[in-house]
Parts: sequence; C-alpha cells; structure tokens
Amino acid sequence: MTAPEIDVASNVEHEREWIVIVWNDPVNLMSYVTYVLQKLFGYSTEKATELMLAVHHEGRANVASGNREQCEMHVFRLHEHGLWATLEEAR
Amino acid sequence: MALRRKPPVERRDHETWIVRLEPDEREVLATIIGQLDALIDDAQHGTESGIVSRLFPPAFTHHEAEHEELDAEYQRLMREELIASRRTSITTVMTTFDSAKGGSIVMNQGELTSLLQTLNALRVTLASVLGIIDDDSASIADDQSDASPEHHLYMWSGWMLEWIVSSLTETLPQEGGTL
Repeated sequence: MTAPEIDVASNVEHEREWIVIVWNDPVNLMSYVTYVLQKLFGYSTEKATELMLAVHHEGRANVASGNREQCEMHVFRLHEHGLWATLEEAR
Repeated sequence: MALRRKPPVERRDHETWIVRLEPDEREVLATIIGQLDALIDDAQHGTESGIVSRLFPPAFTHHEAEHEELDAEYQRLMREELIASRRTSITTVMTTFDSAKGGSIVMNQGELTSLLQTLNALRVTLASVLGIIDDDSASIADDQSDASPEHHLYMWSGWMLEWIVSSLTETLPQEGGTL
C-alpha cells in the first residue's frame, strides 16, 4: 500500500485568505449597493449600510473573506449586479 | 386637482409584483434594452465596444503581476458566464414585456430581479456614454438642464431602480449576518 500523495501547493493555496472589496463608483445608487450587500451576504440593514457608507466615503470596503474560490464566486455575483468588486490577498 | 399616479412598482401579494409601464414607455425601453443586448452579444464575440467594458470589470486587484495572471485566468473561465447571465436577464425582461396587459406587467421575484439587474446594466452603460467617470462628473450630470435623451434615460433608470430596490428590500430577512 502506498501513502497518498499530498498536494502541498494546492493545500497552501486553499489556506491563503482572500478578501472581497467593493469599490466606489459614481453610478450605483446607495440604496442599490445596500440592497445587494444584504441580498448576497445576508447582512442586516445596519451592517450593509455601514459597508455602503465606507465604500462611498473611503472609496472601498471589505465585504467578505474566504479562500480564493469562495471570493471569486462572491466577486462574480457582485459583477452580475453591476458593482465594481475585486478580490485580493488579505495582508 | 392633479391626478396621483400609482407607484411604478408595487407588491401585489407574497409572490408577485405589478410593474407599471405605459405601452410607449415599454416600447422605448425594449428598444434600448435590445441595443444593450446587441452590445453584450458583440462582447461575447470579441468585438466589445468600450461603452460596455464597465459591465465586465477585472476580478483581481492588480497589486502584483501574479494577480494580473490570475485575472486573465478568471476572465477566461468566467467572462462567458457573466455574459450569459446578463443576456438571460435581458431575455426574461423582454418576455415579461410581451406579457403586459395595458400599462401593467405582473412579475415574480426572479423576473423583477432580472429587471433590476438589466436596468442597472443599462445605467452603467449609459454612464459610459455620458462620460460619468467619477463623483464630479456625476454631479455635473445631475445638474444638467439641457439634457440629452441618454441623460433622461439615465435619470429615469435611477428613479425606477429606487422603486424596485425599495420593493425587493421587503423580501429580505430582517436579521442578517455579520462580517
């Protein structure tokens, strides 16, 4: 019987933490951004409003975190809703 | 005494909404949405117009060269899916328009969400046409008195989005999660 091979690179990649950022843009309505954050991430009105205001006043807000695959899916759904979102490694 | 118009979006019962668009409004909107669909179709076939580029933003923050490579890989895998999603929403909206009776369209939540996403895509695209690239240019657009048809549509879509968001927000659970 042989020992199972361990894909070290894949495991390391899986463990790296990524964050999802929503960036300010001049088009999306504040109410719309709040609604999308509530709908996609289940945030309360208060939390979603706080994040929306951070986007509006500070130019960006971290709205979610996880492994790369999870964050890519979050970004995809935010793009479907027309928000300007990216993912990057947590530092 | 002025007649008070009914709201353009109204929840009818637990599962359906009424969207009020007069036939002439609907006709204009269907034409514009058809043009948006054609632009997205062009993007699917590699002849993308710059005015729809904001519908397909980068997925990775480009701090490092590695992220540019990851973004290229992401776009290769996900771009077509995003295009398909947008076109499905447009098709859904057009189908509901065909089912309209007079000035009313009955929509379920999925159809209303498709209208929301399509109107937002239209607004993002119109912003590119109007040169709205930052908060300053957005303020100038808000104050425009000699507005073009594109500007009127941009403002109208924002007004309509507010109504849809307000109505769909009622469907959200009251308590949410935390970061």
